[in-house]
Amino acid sequence: MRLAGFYLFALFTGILPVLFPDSYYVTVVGVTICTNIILAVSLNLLMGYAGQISLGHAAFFGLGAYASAILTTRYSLDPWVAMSIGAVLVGIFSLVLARPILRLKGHYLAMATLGFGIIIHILFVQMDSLTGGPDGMSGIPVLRLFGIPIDSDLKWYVVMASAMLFSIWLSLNIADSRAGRALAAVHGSEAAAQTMGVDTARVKSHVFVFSAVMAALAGSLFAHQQSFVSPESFSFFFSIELVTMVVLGGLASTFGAVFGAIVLSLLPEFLLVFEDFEVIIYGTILMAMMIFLPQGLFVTLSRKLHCMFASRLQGTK
Amino acid sequence: MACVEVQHLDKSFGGVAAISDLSFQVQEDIIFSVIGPNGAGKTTLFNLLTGLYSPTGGVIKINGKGITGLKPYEIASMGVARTFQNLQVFMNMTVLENVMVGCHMRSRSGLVAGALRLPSVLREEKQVREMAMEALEFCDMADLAGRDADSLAYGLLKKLEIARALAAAPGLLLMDEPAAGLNDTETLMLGRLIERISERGVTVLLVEHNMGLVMGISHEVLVLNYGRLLAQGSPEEVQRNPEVITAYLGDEGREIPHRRLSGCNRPG
Repeated sequence: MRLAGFYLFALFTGILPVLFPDSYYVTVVGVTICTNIILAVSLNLLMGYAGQISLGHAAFFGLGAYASAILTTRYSLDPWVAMSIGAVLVGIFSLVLARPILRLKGHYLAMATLGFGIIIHILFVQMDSLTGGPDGMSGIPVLRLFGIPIDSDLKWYVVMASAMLFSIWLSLNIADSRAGRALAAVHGSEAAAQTMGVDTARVKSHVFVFSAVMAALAGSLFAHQQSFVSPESFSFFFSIELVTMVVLGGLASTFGAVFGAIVLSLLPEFLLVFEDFEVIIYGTILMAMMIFLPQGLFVTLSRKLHCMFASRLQGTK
Repeated sequence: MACVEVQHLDKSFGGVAAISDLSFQVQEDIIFSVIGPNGAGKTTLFNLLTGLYSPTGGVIKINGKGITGLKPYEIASMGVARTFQNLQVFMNMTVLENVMVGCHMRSRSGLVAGALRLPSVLREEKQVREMAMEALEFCDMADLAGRDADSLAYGLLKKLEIARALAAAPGLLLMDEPAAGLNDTETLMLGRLIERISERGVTVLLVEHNMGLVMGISHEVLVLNYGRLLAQGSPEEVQRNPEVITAYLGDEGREIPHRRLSGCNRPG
């Protein structure tokens, strides 16, 4: 019962490619959506659960992607080994970063993470002997899973959808665990959390690292799926977009983040027909949603539905 | 042995002394109240005892161990729990989850184990749930377990804070104005609850303005005035103390020494 929503969503992701195996929206846009969901869900652990804003999440995504790209093309490492090394490096890096940066709160934390994201982005552009500079890196080898090369859109859909579902499962589990409650306590009242014995600095840095490593792994998968990486994908704007996904869906709700990622990934596709006005309409929709549904799209809608069902049930009694 | 030992405690904020040269002891298993006019330094004392503030000078020992330099969570792990004057309930959680946070120190599993929902986590989760329910039942709130904390009325929120603190199985419980904002019936029930907590072998340190409650349930009362110890003793002794009467009622109080303090709800 706890995971009812999760199973329903898993069923939905599983059925889609069976019903529409050749649909561009499923196997191409779908893969992007899956990547964005993993990122939004990982950012939600930090922002939604623990209440710590990060405007530099795309940097971890980028670090994972570049670690895979560099280690596989320049050092000819196996993709999985490269991915693991990338994840460990990002883990260590974020652990070192966590304590000093999470000491900050509110606007100051936003500024520090923003600065961090921009620095990493500049490094991607400037260290061209390693990263290929603004042109990026191509020729990233194909990922193999149990000896099967992941070389078609449909295969990538299966891999990314599985990774995405796994990340949702992890996030839902955390919400319902000792660590998740400690994070929510930090969000609710840091002083009370401390006097209940929660080492707030420690739980904050743990979730920071966890979230960063999740983003890095998503980055590695992204690099192999695209077989090409460039700094553009990991800019400050993408960090903002991730924050928007989390806020749009509804903070502190895993499915809110999922929903936000889906809406924000699909919206540009649907708005393509408006051509020149695309960006304006996109912005207007976002503003309207935040004004009329300040608690987030998913959270508000699910509450409304809940109330409706509750009153229906009472009506039949 | 004394549960709490405070020696020559000083705390000043930018030159303003909130606590000065305060020394007292709290024996185990009693209800010990700290009273005093507003601004006397009561909440500052609690924040010092729980490590939210660090003292400017002096020593605090809990169960014989100095707590200087310890972080709040480290002091909490010594069996010290507290409730807050201004509510600090986790409004983003259910009632049960709030109390389960209280069990934080009685459980161990970490973030990764929780994310993977290992069998050990499931076992622990079940235990934590039981401990939390036990604390809720003790406070007569078991039927509210599934409610969102932000849907609770004020009186229940105050009780929820007590349940959350009890879930930590503390040896020492600090309660900061638990009766503030409660009506007479609720205050009466609160008094009974505090006595039951004390009977469980928990030392209770109470800061409270409601004199009826304080004088009714305390074994010992300490009176603070301008951060200094004004008087200490049994409720009867403190009520007879002329200095206490002066502090509360002004000099005119001297002329009516027969007037009892009980019943003045918010002096000062």
